[in-house]
Amino acid sequence: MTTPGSPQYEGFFRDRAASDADCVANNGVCPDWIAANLDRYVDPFLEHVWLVVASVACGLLIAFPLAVLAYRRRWLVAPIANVTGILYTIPSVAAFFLLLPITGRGALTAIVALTAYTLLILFRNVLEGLDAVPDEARDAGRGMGLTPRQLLWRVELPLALPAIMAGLRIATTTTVGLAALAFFARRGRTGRAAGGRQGVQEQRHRRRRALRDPRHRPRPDDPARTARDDAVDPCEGGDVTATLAALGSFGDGVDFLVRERQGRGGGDVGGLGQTWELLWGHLKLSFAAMVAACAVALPLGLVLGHTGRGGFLAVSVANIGRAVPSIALIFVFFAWFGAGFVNVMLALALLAIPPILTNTYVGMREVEREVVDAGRGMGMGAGRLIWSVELPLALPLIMAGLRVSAVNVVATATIAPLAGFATTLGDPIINAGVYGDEGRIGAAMLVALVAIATELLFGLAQRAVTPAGLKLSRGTQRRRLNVINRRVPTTP
Amino acid sequence: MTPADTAQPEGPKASVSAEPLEFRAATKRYPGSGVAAVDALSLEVPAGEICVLVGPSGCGKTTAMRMVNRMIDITEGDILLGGRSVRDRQEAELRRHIGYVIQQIGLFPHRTIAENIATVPRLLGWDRTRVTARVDELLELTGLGTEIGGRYPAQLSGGQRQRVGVARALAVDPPLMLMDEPFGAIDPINRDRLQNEFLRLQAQLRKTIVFVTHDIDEAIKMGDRIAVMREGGRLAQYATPAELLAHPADDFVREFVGADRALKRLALQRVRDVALHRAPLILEDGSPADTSGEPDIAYDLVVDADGRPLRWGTDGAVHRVEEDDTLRDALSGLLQSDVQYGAVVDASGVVTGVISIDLIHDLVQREEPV
Ligand SMILES: Nc1ncnc2c1ncn2[C@@H]1O[C@H](COP(=O)(O)OP(=O)(O)OP(=O)(O)O)[C@@H](O)[C@H]1O
Ligand SMILES: [Mg+2]
Repeated sequence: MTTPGSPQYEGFFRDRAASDADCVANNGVCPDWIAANLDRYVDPFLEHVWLVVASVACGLLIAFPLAVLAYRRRWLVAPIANVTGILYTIPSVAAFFLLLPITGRGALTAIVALTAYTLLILFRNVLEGLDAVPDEARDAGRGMGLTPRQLLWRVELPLALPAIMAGLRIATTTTVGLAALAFFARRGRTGRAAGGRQGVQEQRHRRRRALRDPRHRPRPDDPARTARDDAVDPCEGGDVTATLAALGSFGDGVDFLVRERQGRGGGDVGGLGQTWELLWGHLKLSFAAMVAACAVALPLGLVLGHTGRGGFLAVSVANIGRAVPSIALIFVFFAWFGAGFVNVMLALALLAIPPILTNTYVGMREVEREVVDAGRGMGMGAGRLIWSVELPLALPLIMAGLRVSAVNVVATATIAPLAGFATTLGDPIINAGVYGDEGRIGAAMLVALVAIATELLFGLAQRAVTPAGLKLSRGTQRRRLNVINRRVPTTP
Repeated sequence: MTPADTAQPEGPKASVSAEPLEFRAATKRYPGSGVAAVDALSLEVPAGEICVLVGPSGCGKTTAMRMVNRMIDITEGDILLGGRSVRDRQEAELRRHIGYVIQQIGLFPHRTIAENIATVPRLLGWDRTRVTARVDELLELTGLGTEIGGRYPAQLSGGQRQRVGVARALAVDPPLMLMDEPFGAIDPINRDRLQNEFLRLQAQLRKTIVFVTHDIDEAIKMGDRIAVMREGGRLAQYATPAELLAHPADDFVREFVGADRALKRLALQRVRDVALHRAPLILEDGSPADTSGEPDIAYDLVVDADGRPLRWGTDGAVHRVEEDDTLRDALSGLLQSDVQYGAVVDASGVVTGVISIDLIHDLVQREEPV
């Protein structure tokens, strides 16, 4: 089926699905096919490496000056951390499609998206590295007459280098995992938009022109008129339509979410009813997965943390969890257990367990030993000690783990349709052939919103459960090693 | 419920409680360690006394103390509280009736001060009004003031937190208190104040107390008895402070007590407690002011009509020493003023005798011939 001349990775997906009937019989595991087609992996591999290197380099170029600036002007820390944090929260699948209308199809989109993900990691690490420079060293430098600039280059940066390198390492591993998803940014032509990058840019150009000058609004008989316009026009929303049109592809996306239209596959798609159905399915799946994960990870983490045993287990689980890309996990589950709500839910739960388990464990261990000792010395039993001393003090960290997991699950539920559970917001993103490009953009926007809302909601919850007495003592937040404070996005 | 559970004394007036404590060859070996952390420790602490465990770092003081409330299991031997083996008692029940104060205090940061103090009373199921009354009483007793009860530990100073730790340990009026370097993390000036405060409190409460420190000065100041421990958890000497200073059992104790133990002994004695010189007292007109006793020094001390010292002989300035001072302070004063003799006066300034550097020297020599 490979058309001569088409990029190899294009055929890579289609071919693989169609070619080998054995694979299906073998639950989708086909070593023979992989062996026979090893050469097909070369180009995607090089492409992958290039994406990673370019993205991390761009990330450092942006994050480094920001961190140095924030290091000098402390009030900038919170805003920069928040913005990069929000960027970090947007599921990558959604990010790719949200970028498409702006940067077009191709490596640029992938690099912009991947760069955005490195920002938070790099910013935090550079800043933490600079913050960790001992005051004596800084003082001595200043005492010897170094200017602030010289101080930065000769004293502070060299001392911060290990932390910066660690940041680069984490950013790189993260990006390696994510870049696997970059194919979304390139693939997924849905027939109409086959013009690729040029087509998109042309459309965009036209739209912009239309915005500036009403005369350039496409008329019904205009050959440049697109399917998008067709989809919008029958509804005739007057002002609303005009406003939405002004927003370009994003307007189309919003329009899809609120208005039903004829899908490319024949049936009706879009509209509030379907949006709600998909959103509800998405939330239901995520919620069920979180409940299942909590049911396992919380008790286990509490007991391990209380006894101090099994630290190795808790940390290993976290590391394995970090290393396995969730997309791979989903596919493995799919291949072994088949499709369906429960299976997908269990796969997501498996993804959600490591951060909850690790943070619960670490949270319990981080409760100061003398506090636990005092409790024991006053005659508290194990249950009471956990419930009224350790748990309240560990709760902020536990909530941080829940937040990471929840954002992770919400993001990963997007690719549930690939594993046979279609009722999530990922469906329009993956099956653009049915929903159309506006459906894909609309769903991508909604997914991003849901993820950000989850992050914010859990952030609030985290603040709410932090005991008042702790807020007072944590004026200066201690640095916590070993704790998963953020989703490590090997996930979509 | 044991009898101790139902006997719920209310404050110092109803204070039942102080029970004697006895270590009987108590031994602790940590698993995987060849040597004992505490080696056959035997000592008795009479009810109502402070026993200080003192020794160099790692000698097993904390281990010995924590065996009492079974935070650490006893390997061999036994510990008796009020004549009953601690091994026969339920861990939780035992601990609820032993006050426990540690260096880092270990206040619950998520609970208010009042809630912290109320921990054990609540564990014992006291009713709310009784808990509140007891918390207020303890806040007053420890000099914190009831208005502090609503604050969180993070809002207190180190010294205040330490007092809360003591108040919390005293909450159910336990017959025994265990205190592991309770003042270790506090600056010297505040530590001195807390020590004095605590001694005043103890004079009122009369608890049996096991007090761990590595500071010999603190041990001498706080202890009714001092157990000096040495590496390997062995007891080097168990004696009263004066005895320890006067007759160290061996070189280890002598060295641990310090080269300045003569001065430390002087710090234990007050001027009023020693036999002073008597000088011939005369009034300003030259007539003798005092006829009782035979003077044993030759210099005339001129006093006014009330008996307050004015000068030596015709023009010598008088150095005054309060009779409540320690001998150490008195000696320091004499040396500083560069005089041999000082007139000892009571609270109203009336002379009660004369002290001299030689006299202090003789006291030291007599009790410990070199
Ligand atoms: N949990 C433990 N496991 C093994 N060995 C221990 C343990 N706790 C203490 N030890 C050892 O037992 C010995 C006595 O320790 P302990 O804490 O009682 O000393 P300490 O006299 O209180 O010292 P410090 O003045 O430093 O507090 C030390 O050698 C210590 O290393
Ligand atoms: Mg100790």
